Amino acid sequence: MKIIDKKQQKLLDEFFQRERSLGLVYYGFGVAAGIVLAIAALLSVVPYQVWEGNRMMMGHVSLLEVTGMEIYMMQYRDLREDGRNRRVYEILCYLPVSYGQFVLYILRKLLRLGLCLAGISAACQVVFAWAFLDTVAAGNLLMPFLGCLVLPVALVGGTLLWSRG
Amino acid sequence: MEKTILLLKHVTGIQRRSPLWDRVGAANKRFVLRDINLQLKAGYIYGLIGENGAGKTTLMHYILKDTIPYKGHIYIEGTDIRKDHAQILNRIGYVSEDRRFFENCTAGQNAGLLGAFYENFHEEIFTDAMAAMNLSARKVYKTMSRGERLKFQLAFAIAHEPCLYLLDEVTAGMDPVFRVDFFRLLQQIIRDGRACVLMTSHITEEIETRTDYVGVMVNGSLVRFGESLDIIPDLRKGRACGEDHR
Repeated sequence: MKIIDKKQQKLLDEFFQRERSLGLVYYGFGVAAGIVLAIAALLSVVPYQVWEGNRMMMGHVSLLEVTGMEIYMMQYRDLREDGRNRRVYEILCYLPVSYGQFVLYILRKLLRLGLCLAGISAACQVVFAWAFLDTVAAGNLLMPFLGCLVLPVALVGGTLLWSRG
Repeated sequence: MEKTILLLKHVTGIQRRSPLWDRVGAANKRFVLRDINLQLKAGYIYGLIGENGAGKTTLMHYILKDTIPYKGHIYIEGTDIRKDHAQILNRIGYVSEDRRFFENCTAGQNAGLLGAFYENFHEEIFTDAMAAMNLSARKVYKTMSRGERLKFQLAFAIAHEPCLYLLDEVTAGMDPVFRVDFFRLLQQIIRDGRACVLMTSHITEEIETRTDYVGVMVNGSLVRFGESLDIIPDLRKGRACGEDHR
């Protein structure tokens, strides 16, 4: 059995594009996700060696990444109608699209965003660490990938799978 | 020979139990179907009756949702629905008060957005069906009455040409004038012998006069199945769906 059904993924892509063009996607999710992820990105480009005396700071950055990703995911998972949040899959559940493919579609979006953030953070950390601290460690590559990609995608994707209902 | 559209073979729900679940107690156990055997053929309207909580809607959910664990087999046009459930949903038209659509979109926008998921969705059939039911495609879903929502859903279902229509309590609260038109529409749907209709209802008169066959459900079991004109009078006489029919 195919894990990724290209036909269903294409249908979901078209659906979300149409949903966006009809103005059904609540702009607040995008704005909030943008703000939180921007703060998290600003903090994560700082080489981790700077925070080493304050381990809580690294936790806070990861928490911000997870929160930003969660809000970003809500653009696809949730629908805001008349002041109430509803799940998009409540509408799709009797259509020829499986919950698995719906989750995979959102996970792919999260992965793309996480990879982007992790890549930029890792590159910036390496450059800044080399320029200002005269030392580059493996952690400058690993920490951004852990904090911006692995942890947020695992946690947010996990909650999405858990909430299958 | 009439084509078999839906075939249920020994369909029995599975309780997912864990030690923790047992501690919570029996009250939280999921309601399950018990050994359902049913065969629906094209060209007929089938009714399902039973008290609240008898399992009528649950039976439809076993067909519609791939999340409910069960033993046995459900076939639609000879294909086990477990093989590719999403694909099978192309062949099912579901109409129910509980079905959700975009509240702030018009009927036309809903059809355009969601109809795209179906392989055979025809906008012109949808438009014709809406016109036949005197309902504007420009009407916003949240402003529709219950009856109008069900009419829209029926038009939406007709437009993707399913072979199995599942109608869950659709006629309750329906105005008498449209009720006549509604059943005329169902007759048109099944006339060419390519589809069948399974509907649940609490109105026994309606089931007796408007459906060809009826099943009686009690506590998740199908206790009787046969011609509506035989079964409904029996029910009225009190020889109902009790233990003696199991």
